[in-house]
Amino acid sequence: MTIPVIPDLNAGQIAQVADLNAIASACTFLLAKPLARVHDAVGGQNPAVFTAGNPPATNIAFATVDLDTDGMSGTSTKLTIHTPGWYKVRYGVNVSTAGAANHINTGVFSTTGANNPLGAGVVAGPFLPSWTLAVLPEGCAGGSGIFPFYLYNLDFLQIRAGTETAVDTTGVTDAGSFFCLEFVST
Amino acid sequence: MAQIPIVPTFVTSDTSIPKLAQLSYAVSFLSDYGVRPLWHLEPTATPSITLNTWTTLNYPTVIFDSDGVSDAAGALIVTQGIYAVEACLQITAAGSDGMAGSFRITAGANNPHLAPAATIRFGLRAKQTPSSGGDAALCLSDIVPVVCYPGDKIVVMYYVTATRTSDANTNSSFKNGRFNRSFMGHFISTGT
Repeated sequence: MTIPVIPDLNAGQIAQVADLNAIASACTFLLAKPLARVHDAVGGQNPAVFTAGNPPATNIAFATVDLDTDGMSGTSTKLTIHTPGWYKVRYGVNVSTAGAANHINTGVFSTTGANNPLGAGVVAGPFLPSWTLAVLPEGCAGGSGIFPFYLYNLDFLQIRAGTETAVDTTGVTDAGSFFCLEFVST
Repeated sequence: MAQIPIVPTFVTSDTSIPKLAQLSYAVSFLSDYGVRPLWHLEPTATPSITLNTWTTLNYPTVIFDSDGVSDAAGALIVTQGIYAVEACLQITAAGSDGMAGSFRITAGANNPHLAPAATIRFGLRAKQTPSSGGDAALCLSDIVPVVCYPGDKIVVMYYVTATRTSDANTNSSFKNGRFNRSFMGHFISTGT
């Protein structure tokens, strides 16, 4: 989407039709702003066992698109920015326990695209990290909050998870894993 | 019921006051939470959360509700749109239990994407509670996965692996009665 340009109207100025339409365009943008929600409807993913000193390493796939007003969801393991700005992230990774209680470790990772002043391919994370001790029948770790970096066109975010044992798989029984992005500000 | 703004298009030498009023209302809808749908609800009772059963918690206390969605149990959508929801769940004196919470939307008669009474669960969180006898809490946050229509109902649900109660904030100790249980939601976008 195109970021609205809000006109400056000064004393004595006669508002031009372009000024009024620019304000109207800003309203239209905010009434249908960029957002996306995807989820995992299948389950059966096996986050890698995490090791001390390392962040969660497995990108969780969210193949089912619930909402996407800005084409962010083309690849199941990431949401890609097409309108630069500040975004709110919400996510949860649902893990089915196979017997004993197990730990889940999750976080949000960003990768810069070609339009980011840092250059493409710079990975950062985990942000909004979460840890949960999952007990039968399931666990779900996640978080929500404003992502700490301004995101540029083609930057993308991913949800990564790690578990305590190799027997944990992602679940879907009670709602499953989900991942949302919502534009909150230029 | 909040009216979804109709954003006007202006033409050269336009003197339409109704168009300016439409633009003004659109700005009010976007910037004034007295106009835009927004709610914050709380429970008053101390319900028992049944063992190993997903239980709906009622939220009859209205802290604020700009669009009249409260029906004492959850939020009955009045204005069509995409909504974000959040909740704080609490159980008393937990001890190494499984605890989970989620939202559930039940379609009313006006949602073209869902059959009447169809349900979708979303916004799951689940964990093991502390073993020390302190209260336990979960915070849920999600975007409702479908566009909501008037008559759709959103509720908050609990699941615990031991029979527990949920009580109000009483500041009773450093690890008990410290939670302000709540269910919040707000309109974030138009949608069809």
